[in-house]
Amino acid sequence: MLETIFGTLYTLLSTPYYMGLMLIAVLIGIWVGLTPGIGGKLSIALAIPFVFGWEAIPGAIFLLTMHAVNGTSGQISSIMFGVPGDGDDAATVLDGYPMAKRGEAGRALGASMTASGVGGIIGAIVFALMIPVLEPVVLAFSPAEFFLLALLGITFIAFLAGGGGMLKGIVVGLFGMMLATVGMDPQTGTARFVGEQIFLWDGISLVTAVLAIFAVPEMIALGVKGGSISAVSMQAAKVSYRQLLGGVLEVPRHWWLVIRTSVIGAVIGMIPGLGGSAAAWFCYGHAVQTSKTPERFGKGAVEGVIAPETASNAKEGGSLLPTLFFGIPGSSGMAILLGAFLILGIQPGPTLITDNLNLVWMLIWALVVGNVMAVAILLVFARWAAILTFVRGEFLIPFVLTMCVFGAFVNEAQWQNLVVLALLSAIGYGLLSADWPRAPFAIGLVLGGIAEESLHKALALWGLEFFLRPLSLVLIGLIALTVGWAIYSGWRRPVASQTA
Amino acid sequence: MLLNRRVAFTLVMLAILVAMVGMAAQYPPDARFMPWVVGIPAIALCLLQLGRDLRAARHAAGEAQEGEGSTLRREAAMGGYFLGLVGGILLFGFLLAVPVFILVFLRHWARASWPLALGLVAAAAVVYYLVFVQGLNVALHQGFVTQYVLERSSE
Repeated sequence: MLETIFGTLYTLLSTPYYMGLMLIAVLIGIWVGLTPGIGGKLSIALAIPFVFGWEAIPGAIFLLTMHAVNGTSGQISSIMFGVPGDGDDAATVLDGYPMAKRGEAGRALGASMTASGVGGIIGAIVFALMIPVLEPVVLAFSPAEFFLLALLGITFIAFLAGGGGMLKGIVVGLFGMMLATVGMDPQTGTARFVGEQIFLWDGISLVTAVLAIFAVPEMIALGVKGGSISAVSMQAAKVSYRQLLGGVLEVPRHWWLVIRTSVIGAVIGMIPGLGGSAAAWFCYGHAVQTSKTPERFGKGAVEGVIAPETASNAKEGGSLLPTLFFGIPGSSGMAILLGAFLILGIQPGPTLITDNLNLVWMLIWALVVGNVMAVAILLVFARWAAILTFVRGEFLIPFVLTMCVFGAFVNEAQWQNLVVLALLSAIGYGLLSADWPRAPFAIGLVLGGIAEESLHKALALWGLEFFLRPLSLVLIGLIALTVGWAIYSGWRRPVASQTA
Repeated sequence: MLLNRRVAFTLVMLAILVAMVGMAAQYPPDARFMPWVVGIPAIALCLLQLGRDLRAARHAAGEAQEGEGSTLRREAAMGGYFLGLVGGILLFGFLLAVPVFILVFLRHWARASWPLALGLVAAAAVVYYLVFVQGLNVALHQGFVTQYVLERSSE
């Protein structure tokens, strides 16, 4: 075991190819986090075509590192302009922005970047510590449970939408599973939903679908919205190294808070559907509750920056756990990452622990090393990095859209995929503009094939009695509770809030 | 107005799901099993959602939708740009359609100056060529019109 743990670290650090890939991934991840209009999910979707055909380990390291570090740079706009990059950064605004307004932007940035990096490292350690505990649990799962886990994954991730969006999330997830049935049926050899289109016999291209549902709608929405994220002058965005260093030192000064919020964040990340926002807000609340001077929060308390940042990055390590071992993404970003892993030939599930522990440890170390790299780069270049938040969204749109069409085509070299891209993009924009969650679609599409195969295997082994297996009953109970709650809360929710 | 954006989209989703479940009826039992296992509950939940959307639309009826017209125009324009890009690639190929699309978008939508727009187009063309044609060695789609013209000119 120890040989695997330290052997993978040595391999990672001593292989210039891996380190070079990680450096590129870190730079892209930082850029993505800083630039308005491009989120972490979109960046993975855009990167998938480039890693297509790569070996599993370098491809997975590249994508995971890129995904893990974009949260580290995302807080810059939260602190400097009061504009959160995404939901995960919203809690940071509460104290980060007041600090910036009173001239302590550098201190807030130094504290948040260091906290974010340390959180990412502790999250990876928590994940690593969970592996021996989890191994017997994962190995107890049979095809029956894997079918039900796929359904549970969709219902859990629908929670990300929150409130009445859960119902929509489940429908979208099932729609994704439905599209996963397009193509040749593995049981009977029947071509389903393909008409005369032979290129669809292998199913809908995952890359095309992910680009269409996530990337293209975001760009259309950005074009419709228009403008730049920042209304603050370039002069106001300047920070000094002295302040940055002061902020860095705040993290060891509050070490006990950092450890607590990192562990809480990692544990929240392990629960599919709760997401980074929950981790950040929960830990912000924890910091307020445990502070001797809670009245300082909301007015520029540095602990109010440290707590949400450690938590939101620590949750990445935690959310990798259900993604890799159960095939249930712990967050919407992980849903797309899961699709990318499948494209790279990494099959999530219990065999990863038994047959591919090297890959698992390589990913854990990639999280650690990637976060260290990101923090070091950001601390050196933070003064200039803020300038990126002034980029006008309209200038990004044509480049991202052209990347999408290249990505859809390159994957299978079929021009028909461009037509599929256009059709699914219309549905994707419909989902976005009608306020339907899109992450469950990716999970449904990714897990649809696994779910169908598992269902047929379970029926062949146990018939309909597979529903009565103890673990199956537990999972069915969880699904029923989740769906029941979705329906109940949907009808109870005040109508006014839907029309707002 | 009952048929607002949300209701319309829920109806679209419902129509797609109903059509797929209906099509699956023609397949052998084993082949239609999964589409039905997934599709029928999805239709039921979609109907519930439609009920909720209609309820919300009834409450919102009469409320003015500020800026709806201009949003629709911008959405149509953005959709047009994207469809133009896809259509342009299908007809004229990546090498022609992509630079033209970027240039037109930057000039007319982003209001970039000619030098900036041309510079960005040139940079993008070089990067795309190096990455996709040279790096990944992909045979990019030539475009049906371009292919036809090239074939005719070589005869």
